[in-house]
Amino acid sequence: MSKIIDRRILIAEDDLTSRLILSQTLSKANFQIVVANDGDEAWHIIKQADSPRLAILDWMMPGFTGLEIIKKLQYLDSNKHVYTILLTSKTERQDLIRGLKAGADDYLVKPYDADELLARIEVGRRIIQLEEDQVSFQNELKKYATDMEELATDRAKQLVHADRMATLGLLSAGMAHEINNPLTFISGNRQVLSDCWPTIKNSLEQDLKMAPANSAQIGFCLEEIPKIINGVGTGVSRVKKIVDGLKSFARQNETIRKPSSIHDCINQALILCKNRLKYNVEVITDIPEDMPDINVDKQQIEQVLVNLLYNAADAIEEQQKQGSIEISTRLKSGKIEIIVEDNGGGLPEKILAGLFNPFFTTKAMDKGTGLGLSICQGIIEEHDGTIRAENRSSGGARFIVELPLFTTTEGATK
Amino acid sequence: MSVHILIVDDENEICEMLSRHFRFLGYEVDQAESAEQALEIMSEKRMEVVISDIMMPGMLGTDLVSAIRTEYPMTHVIMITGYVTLENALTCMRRGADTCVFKPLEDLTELDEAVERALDDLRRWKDKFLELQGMKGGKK
Ligand SMILES: Nc1ncnc2c1ncn2[C@@H]1O[C@H](COP(=O)(O)OP(=O)(O)OP(=O)(O)O)[C@@H](O)[C@H]1O
Ligand SMILES: [Mg+2]
Repeated sequence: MSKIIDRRILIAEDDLTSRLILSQTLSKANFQIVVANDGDEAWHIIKQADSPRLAILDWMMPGFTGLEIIKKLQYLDSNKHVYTILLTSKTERQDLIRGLKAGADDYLVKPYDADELLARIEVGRRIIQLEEDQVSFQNELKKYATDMEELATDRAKQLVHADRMATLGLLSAGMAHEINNPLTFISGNRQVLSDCWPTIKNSLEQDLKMAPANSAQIGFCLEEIPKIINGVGTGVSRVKKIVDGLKSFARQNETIRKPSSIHDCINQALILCKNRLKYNVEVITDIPEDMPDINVDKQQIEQVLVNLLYNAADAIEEQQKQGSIEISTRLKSGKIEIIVEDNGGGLPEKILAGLFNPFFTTKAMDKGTGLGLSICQGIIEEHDGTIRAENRSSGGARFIVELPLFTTTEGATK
Repeated sequence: MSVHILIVDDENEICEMLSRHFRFLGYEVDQAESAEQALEIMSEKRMEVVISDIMMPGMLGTDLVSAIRTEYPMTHVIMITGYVTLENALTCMRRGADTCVFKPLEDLTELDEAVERALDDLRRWKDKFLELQGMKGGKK
């Protein structure tokens, strides 16, 4: 919408009588008058951001003359155009042409007729309105263009993201599978070796008694081999954790949705996390009884909640304190919001951007693989929802999951 | 009685590893790199237990279970798989495998226990047969 121009008019006239007559005429016609007693004052007013859009300038006055002001206006660094009517007692044709050439929009020769003045002012106002319309039309166009552009970029980003995720999904499934076989025989062989160890140890101990000359080496073996066996075991567990992560990352696209109660999802997730939460974490839930169903793959939503709860528990543990996790749900314009918040260390500004990226982690090697949140995001987006993270003002992190409600029309088409 | 176990996996290192493990526990172990090879070996040698992978080039482990069930009903089959899906597990169960153990077999005891259970079952039947033979003998 273009804005309606106001009725303010600037009058720059040094002669008191002329000024009064002019003011009266305009006031009667319902204009608001802004008065300047000389050219300098007029220029000062015009320069201001919110000056009147229409100015009646006397040609001859102290300070800048009307003509000078009009010339200066051309160079004013503003895209706002001030419509100027030059007042003059000069009647020479030459003078009038000079005024118009300098940039005046119109002129009046004193003494002038009041009706003519008002008519010319109306012309000016029409032109200003036209200009105004055009500017706002251009602005609208510009805004529309940027909106479209933003939309296109967003969509492109989404597509790239979806594509990357799909590729990553396939890749991880393949990788998980490839790693699993060698992992199986590494792990198995370690266990066989470990089973054989007591026998080896026995004979080594015998040897030690029989041939003390080799005692250093035999002692070394007795000391180190059990550690080697253990080390391989630790490695195997760690790789297995990564493989499991990759597998569930790959699996997140196969959803089976049913109308489910969020209540059940949360309770199930809490049961799954019971062991992790029992020592230093108090869980507070605030879930209204009569929440409507959501159309989800229950196991996947449980997995999201489990991941969030584990992260919260980790964050609390890192602070080495007793902590609490709050889980709440609420309805919000056709959506359900599930909020998981903790009073751990919170999310430092610099990690916020990469939080949901696969393999992003701040945890030690054997604690986090950095897949948790990217899995959550994958699942929630697959459910046409969103997940976001923020810091609580009281300290700690807050994760907000938004999911569409299950609507009966959707159910009927099923 | 000496117990024969057949390990079937297209990944040779896994065959070797499991073979080593069960030999250490005192079993007689054979290895096959495919389901086809497994059936070949079984036609010449009685097996108490077969431990087989599912995903293999050529005949699948799940088809091997079916074949063993019809040809060697007394042989127990334990499946191992890295390709953990509900469908795989259901197929194993329907076709009569004892159980399905998931790779990477981080702990071999699950497999050991499965073998133990299979052997218990076989022993119970054997006792029954002996008992029957004894009864026949008594009537003579
Ligand atoms: N509740 C939280 N409070 C503070 N930091 C968090 C919280 N949740 C996640 N983070 C940060 O986000 C990172 C990524 O989390 P994500 O769950 O993706 O991976 P992870 O927990 O490190 O590993 P994984 O979940 O794969 O075991 C974490 O390493 C941690 O720095
Ligand atoms: Mg995590």
